Amino acid sequence: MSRRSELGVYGVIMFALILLFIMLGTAAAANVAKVIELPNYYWPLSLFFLTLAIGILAPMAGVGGGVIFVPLVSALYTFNVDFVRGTGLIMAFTSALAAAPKFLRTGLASLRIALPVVAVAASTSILGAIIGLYITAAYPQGKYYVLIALGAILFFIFAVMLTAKRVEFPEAGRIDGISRLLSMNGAYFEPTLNKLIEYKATRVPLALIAFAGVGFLAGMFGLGAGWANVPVLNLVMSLPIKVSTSTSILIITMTDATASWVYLSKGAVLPLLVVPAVTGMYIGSRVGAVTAVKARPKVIRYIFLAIMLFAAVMDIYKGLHGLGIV
Amino acid sequence: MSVEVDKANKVYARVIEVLTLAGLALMIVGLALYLSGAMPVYVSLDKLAEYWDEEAPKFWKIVKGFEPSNYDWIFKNLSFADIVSVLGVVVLPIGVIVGVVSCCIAYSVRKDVMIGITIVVLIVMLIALLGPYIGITIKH
Repeated sequence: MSRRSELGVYGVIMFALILLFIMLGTAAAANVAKVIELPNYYWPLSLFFLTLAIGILAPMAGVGGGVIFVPLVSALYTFNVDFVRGTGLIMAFTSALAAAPKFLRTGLASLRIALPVVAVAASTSILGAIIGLYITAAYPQGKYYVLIALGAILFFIFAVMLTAKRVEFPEAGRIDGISRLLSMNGAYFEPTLNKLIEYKATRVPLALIAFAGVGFLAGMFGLGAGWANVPVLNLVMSLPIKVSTSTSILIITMTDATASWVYLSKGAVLPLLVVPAVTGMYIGSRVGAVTAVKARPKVIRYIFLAIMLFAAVMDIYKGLHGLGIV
Repeated sequence: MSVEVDKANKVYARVIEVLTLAGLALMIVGLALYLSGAMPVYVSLDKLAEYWDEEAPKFWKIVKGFEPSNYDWIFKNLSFADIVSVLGVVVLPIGVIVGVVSCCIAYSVRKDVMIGITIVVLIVMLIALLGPYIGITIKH
């Protein structure tokens, strides 16, 4: 990478980080420390700039935006967690819908692999979404437990991302019956090697059990599930890393479509929150996708791990504070 | 180097691409009408900001006097700018359902074994869509 190009990448990263800290710092000053008062119209505008920053950083770290958006906004903004989860889900959904067509046309994502996964994960994501809304409505202090659970989940994701080994081109083992029956294979052109890469899914039954759990968590917390899809596709099903990230996006288009009905029917989708978040994420992820190709993944991954750790601590603190424990 | 891509992949890609753009356009137009005051609004910004820290059912009970339990609050209020935006959101999962139906057709034409799995996915999607009307969602 040329010096100029490298400077450009770090410039974009610095811009996104500064924007992120300004938005979060202002929200914390207004809602946590209560040292400033801001007009009502500030908050949707702030969501736009916050998601713009998340959108730039997310593709570089290989995670969906929802995983960062939901905990940060729940912790620092005044919106109820129902509306934050609804917004997070629609935002991650739109971002996946924008990216999936390109992956499908280049062979990087395949419906033959995604559809069996979705059949299992979509069923459990409905259950997760219903339970998520039920907790906040049925129990007066339920939202504090949701915040604590969200913090705990983030700690878990943090540990997975810190320790998971990503294998670029895994060795495919024995092909199981389901994989053979459904022809869960494909090919794509890898420009760095200048050759066609063929792939086949392995250990499909084990992977489907894992996806049932992932679907439940994604629906319950309104998160994009890319953080958990990728390790299963890559390490259990032996798919190349690029195929795993792209197929994960394809899976998200379908699982989030299913979970979104619960939020729509319960009125948990407020346009004044959703539209700025979706627009910011859409613009940001287009910039981020270009920058991701050039950036050094390790640096970005550590940045996101730090944000995730911060969000986890904030959510657990806010939940415990709400329950009067701290 | 060209890669041979399954026809169902191409069909699904095209359908979600077109309908996502349509959904985004509706969302943005709705919000522009909401902020400009060119169309009546269902929930004003002041009311929204006053109660957006409440849980979704309580928010609607205070602001509009009812708790949404299905899609009536959307389809009966399409003359309001903010609900036009919500309609844009509705177009997104509808686009995915249309995409999956198109895949069913593509697989059935060549008698592909994937048709069975695709129908299961379609059924799960329709259950999620019709959930509020067939008693799947939990009553608060």
